[in-house]
Amino acid sequence: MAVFAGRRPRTLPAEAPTLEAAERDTPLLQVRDLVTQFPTRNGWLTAVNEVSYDLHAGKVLGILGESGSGKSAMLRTILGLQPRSARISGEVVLNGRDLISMSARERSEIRGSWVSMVFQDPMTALDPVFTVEQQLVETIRRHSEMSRSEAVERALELLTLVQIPSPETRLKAYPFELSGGMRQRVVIAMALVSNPSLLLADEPTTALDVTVQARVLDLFRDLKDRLGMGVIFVTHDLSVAAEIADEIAVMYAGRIVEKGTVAEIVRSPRHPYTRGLIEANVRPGQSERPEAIKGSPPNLAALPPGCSFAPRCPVAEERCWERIPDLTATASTGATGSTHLVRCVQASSVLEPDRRN
Amino acid sequence: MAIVILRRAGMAIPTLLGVTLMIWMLLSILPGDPLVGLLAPDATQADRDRLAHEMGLDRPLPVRYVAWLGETLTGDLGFSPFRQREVVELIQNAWRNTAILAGASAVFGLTVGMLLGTLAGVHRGTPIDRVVTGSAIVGLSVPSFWIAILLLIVFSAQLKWLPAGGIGQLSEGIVPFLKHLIMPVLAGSLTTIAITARVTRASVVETFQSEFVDLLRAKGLREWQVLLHVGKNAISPVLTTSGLQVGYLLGGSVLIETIFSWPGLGQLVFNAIAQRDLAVVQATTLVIAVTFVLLNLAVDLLQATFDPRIKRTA
Repeated sequence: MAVFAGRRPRTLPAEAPTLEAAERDTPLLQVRDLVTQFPTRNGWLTAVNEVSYDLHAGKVLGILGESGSGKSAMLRTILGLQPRSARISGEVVLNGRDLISMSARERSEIRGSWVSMVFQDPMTALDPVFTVEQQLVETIRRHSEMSRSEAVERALELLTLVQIPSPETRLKAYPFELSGGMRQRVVIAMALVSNPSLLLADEPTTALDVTVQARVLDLFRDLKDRLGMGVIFVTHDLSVAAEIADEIAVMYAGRIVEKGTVAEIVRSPRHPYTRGLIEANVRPGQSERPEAIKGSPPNLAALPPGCSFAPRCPVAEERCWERIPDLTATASTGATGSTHLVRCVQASSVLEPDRRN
Repeated sequence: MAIVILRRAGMAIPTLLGVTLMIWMLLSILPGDPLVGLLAPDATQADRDRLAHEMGLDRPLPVRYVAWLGETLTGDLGFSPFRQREVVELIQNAWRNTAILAGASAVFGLTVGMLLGTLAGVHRGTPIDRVVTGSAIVGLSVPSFWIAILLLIVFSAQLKWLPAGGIGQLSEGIVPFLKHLIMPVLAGSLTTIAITARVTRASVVETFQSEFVDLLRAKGLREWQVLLHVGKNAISPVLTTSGLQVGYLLGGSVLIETIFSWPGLGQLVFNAIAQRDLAVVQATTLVIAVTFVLLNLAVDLLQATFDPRIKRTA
């Protein structure tokens, strides 16, 4: 495996598994039992709780959940941006290397080159007192041996790649001189500097106007296809997740409560929480108000002993309060080999798949 | 950028006019007779009227102000009857000496303050932070004249390392010049160090919480590169207080200059007030106020070079 010390060339080294046929079946990213905890006055708060999943190159995993469900915390843990006081365990294996056990130095080499992140709010994500060019060039030169002028060239190339009109002018602009959608494209360009194999997107369309949202989503899809990266796309918006993702994992109180293909999640949701999320959306032709999930997101510092969703669950019964159910395959596992997983004791008995077309 | 300079300079002019009016009014309207000290105890009302007429004190206030302003603008700050010298001459020397002391104190105080503040901000919540923040509070609470006297006792009276007062001439060599500077600068810049450290720390801490810092780290930048970004973003409030600090060092050095017999504006104005030497008090206050306004103008312009939002939206 590649040694990460020192500067790396612009493109990924040949041993990057995205390119090797023999390793095509090996996932790009394997997350195993990832736990992130923060110290609070009343003990440890578990923001990410035993999260496990695989992501293959060229695929998009949508992470769906409300604020406080641990989806952003999980991205930051993968990237290594959590404060030193956080307690992290589990494995995050990217291209065959475990990121969690790496030294801080090695991780900073990998950030921005193998794995990049696009942030939620482009209005605050860029440094306001440096030009787009300065911010792009410093990133390019951090991860390559390029000279200044080569880096400027590459910066132009990147702005063109993310479809920014008249990129030469934009290069000299300060962030406050650009619109929100334009800024988000700059942030995306910055994430693509070293053709990362993994792109983490933290609600990248939430802060944008609806029309701009659609265009940025298109850009994501286009870039993923062209560059062949794996994408983890965090959102609280089911329709966005359904549009961009191959697979969706629903998170609640730091845990994955349901995971499956977009069709499985949207057409036959098994977890009462997922069903609640879908009910809360307006469907075409619907005349009555969508139904919101009762109650409010759980306090992570004071979770009930059993299923975290039990206090809000319309079908909770006594055993739900006793122990946390496992994430298990449903009976309706599709012929494609994709596994529909759900963390609910009633998934197979009480909740019949709700066929919705 | 040229527009910013013009705009800010244009804003400074009414401020300066206001300053001259205030200073002139305060000293012309305040009770106390400037003639008392000049007249012999047995002077008659006729002597008194004659002197008042000579000095132009019998004319109406607005006329006196305009006349005074006209003279001031042409560089004539009047004549000190007590010292029998042109005020301009007195001020020139004193201003230079004060500028040396205030300049050295500002450079030293702001540099040390920013370094300590950044150190504390970067290591927020650690013992380093607590030591810096704690010392800053002590530095703010301890009066500078007390520190000055302490320094004098230790380094001058006991150890005899440093001269107790006066100013060294550069012509006599750089070492004696610096030796004379050390104690006044240390005592005078203590407050500046403390205030600058606190403002810098707060600004650095706040900037570190911005989302763009996460993005800088997400890009894989090294920690020193992140710190450069944070520094450029955090400097604005520090610059603002710096302008005020330097103004304070210029005008507020009366105590320090008196203790160390530093022949600056502070000492000059101190003696002039005691003697009711109106022309000198007016001129000194004016010079300090004008320097203060100009310094803050410079700070505004400096800020525009650090923050493009000021430059391009002005």
